[in-house]
Amino acid sequence: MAEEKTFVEDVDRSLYDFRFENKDAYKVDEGLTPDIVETISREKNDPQWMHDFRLRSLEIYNKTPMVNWGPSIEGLNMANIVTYVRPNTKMSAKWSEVPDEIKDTFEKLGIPQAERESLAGVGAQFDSELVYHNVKKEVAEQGVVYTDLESAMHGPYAEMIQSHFMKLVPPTDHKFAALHGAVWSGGSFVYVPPGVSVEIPLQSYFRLNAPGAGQFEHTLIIVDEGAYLHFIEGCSAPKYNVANLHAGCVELFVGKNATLRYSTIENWSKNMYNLNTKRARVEEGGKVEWISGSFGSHVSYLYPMSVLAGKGSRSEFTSVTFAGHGQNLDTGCKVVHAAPETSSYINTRSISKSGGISTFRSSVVIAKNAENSKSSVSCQSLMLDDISRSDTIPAMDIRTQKADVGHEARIGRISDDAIFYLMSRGISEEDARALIVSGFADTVGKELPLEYAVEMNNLIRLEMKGAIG
Amino acid sequence: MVKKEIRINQLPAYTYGWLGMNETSVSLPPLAEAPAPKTDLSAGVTSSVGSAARDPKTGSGDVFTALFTEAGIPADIYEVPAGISPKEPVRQKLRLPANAFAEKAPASLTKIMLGEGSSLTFLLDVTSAESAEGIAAFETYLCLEKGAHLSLVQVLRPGQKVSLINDIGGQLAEGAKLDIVHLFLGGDHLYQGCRIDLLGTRSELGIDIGYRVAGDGSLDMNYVANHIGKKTRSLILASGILQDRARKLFRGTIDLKNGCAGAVGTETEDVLLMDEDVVNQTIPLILCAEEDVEGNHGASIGRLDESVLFYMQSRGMTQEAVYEMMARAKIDAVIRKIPDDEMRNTLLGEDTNPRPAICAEKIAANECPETCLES
Repeated sequence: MAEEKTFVEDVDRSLYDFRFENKDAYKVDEGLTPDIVETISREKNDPQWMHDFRLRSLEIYNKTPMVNWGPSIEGLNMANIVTYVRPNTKMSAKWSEVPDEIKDTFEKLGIPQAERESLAGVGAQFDSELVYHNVKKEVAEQGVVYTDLESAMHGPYAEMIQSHFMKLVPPTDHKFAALHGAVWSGGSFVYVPPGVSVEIPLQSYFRLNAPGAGQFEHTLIIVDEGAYLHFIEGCSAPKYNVANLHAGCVELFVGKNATLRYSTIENWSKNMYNLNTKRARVEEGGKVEWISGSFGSHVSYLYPMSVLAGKGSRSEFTSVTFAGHGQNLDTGCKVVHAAPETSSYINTRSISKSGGISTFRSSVVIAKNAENSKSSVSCQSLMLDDISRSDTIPAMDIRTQKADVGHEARIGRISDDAIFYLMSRGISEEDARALIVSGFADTVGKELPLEYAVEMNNLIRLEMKGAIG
Repeated sequence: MVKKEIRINQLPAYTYGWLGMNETSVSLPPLAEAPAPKTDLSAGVTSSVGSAARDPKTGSGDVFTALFTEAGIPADIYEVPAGISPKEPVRQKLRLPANAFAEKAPASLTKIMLGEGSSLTFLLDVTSAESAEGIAAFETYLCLEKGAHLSLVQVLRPGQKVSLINDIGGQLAEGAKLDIVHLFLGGDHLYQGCRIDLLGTRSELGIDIGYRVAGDGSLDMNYVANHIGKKTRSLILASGILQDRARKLFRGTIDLKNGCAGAVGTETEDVLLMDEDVVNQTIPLILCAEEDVEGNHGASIGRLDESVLFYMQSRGMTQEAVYEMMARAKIDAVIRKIPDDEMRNTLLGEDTNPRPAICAEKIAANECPETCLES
């Protein structure tokens, strides 16, 4: 009989902690200098505008102070971070052409299997470069473009990329947006033409293998008028004793009456500083749906932002955050209502245990011209012990009379009455607690693709095993 | 007159800087002792003048507190001995004359100390002369011993050109109870800080806030309930109206410290927006470092519910009349919580709409927005 756990452990990461020595990989020196940025630009064969953009971003990075709020990132020393690591392979559209060791990594993570079974296209990034990118023929025939950003910059979509790249998240936004602008590498470009509905999701998977490295992928998605797309993003890394950094950037442009669902399961290792920036601009009648599960990282700053720019545009944000030992996860979202009759709905759950810190941080801004707009915010936090911490910091800024804004927040523990009720029905205390935590996170789980929802529930059950020991 | 710029009302946990909610900058001239308020002292309460031992931290912050020390402002100390419960409240009325603002900011420092098992109601009503113009500073320290109960009512309704910083710091021992009623019904720019440390087991804090901000006025608040003792309770209820071009920032923090097992903290805010040009900012924090606790927050911000409006209009009321009635009802609901018949009835009988004369001028000149004109 398998040994039962007698305490609540951290997320079982053995699935993700395998690694291999990629000895042939090319990497730049540690730190951040104009020479390093120049080298990356050369490696990426940047057009002139991108070369200049990188150097300008570096200047902004050097001038921009760190924010005076949020978790400490003292353990992150940019002088020790390698900003570009190129695996010893080129991007391929054939899985068979991917080097065995890298292929093995993604096969362990189930990526090719998922592609075969339930995805319209897959991109796989290993350290700083995409190693595989493919889109199903029938999807490509609809005019859907799903490729790596570097290739797209030199192809027929070059102009489109130049006019959208870091326009939603300018390098001046914050220090790590500037860093991203200077050293970004990898990531995907997706274009869905007007009226095209991509019935099954596209997925990008990011794997950071090299110790002490940073990953700075850029995802640019344009969903044109009346189109639909579900994009899934997954990320993981093996655990090292040195800090790793993820400062990616996601820019989403949702056209008139278009819908984009963006799902993320973030499971970085516990030495990762996850300073990611995500933003969407939604035009008239359009809708963006953010589904977010944050389980990994040592420190996270993650607040997907929706700019509701068109009349009647909508945003939904659903998330669950699970902070365990050694984790300080500062997550939430931002919404700017910048047009009339816009609406936003925010629903989050967070769980803190074993000394973990979870913070829900949000802002809802309703501009003066956003008449007849509505916003609803609900955040609930569960404390599983008294050595953890859970904070909620929601801000609302309303500048029109014709708005309706509701907000509710609740922090608490598992109710003794609920436990007693379930136990009186013959359920053990341990199972009762696991059931309640699963139910607590269910509002998020039901929004996830089935396989992710099942994995999340299994994870919670596993973690709650022995929770009363 | 050399003014000093200070930062007050800082959030216990900062957030995005671009929102401008983390703290507030205010400039004010050196402080000078304000004229003494008219005080009706009830039997059982002793008063003296001395220096306040500044143990309690306040909501506006140490920089503001330091100004009182620098200026040598003496503290008016009110004490109730253990076991004494005066029948009558202490009533203070302070009407700030125009000359109080010459070169300096009139300042008042009060300390209220309640002995074990005592209780007291303390009422303060602040107004100003019509021609008064400037900024005033008030600070109040509260020390409640075991089982003591203080009801503190502060009504701030200075004239249209008078700004005011009102700051409170308090400490509650085991079983102590503090009820605060705050009414903000006038003034140019009002700043309210309030930090209460619930140190003792089963100590309780209740705060009822009512505000009506009009014209180009603003109200900037920072309420902090620190739950330190076990089974402590806090309830912060804010309800208000913004009209004309008014601005309001409500910061409310329930901080459930490690060790405060069994504590419950709740805060709600209900804001009625009357006009197009108002700005409402709300940031309610729940900070939690203890498992066996409960922290709740709810907020409702916007116009009147359409079904309420329709119901009232179907009874023959105009939209403007409905809004005015609901606004009045919100303020009256807070006024009714004042535990003193005289003050309560006086306020219920007065016009609490602080719409300034400048608005009347603009209405006459047809310079107000349509919605403003209608109301």
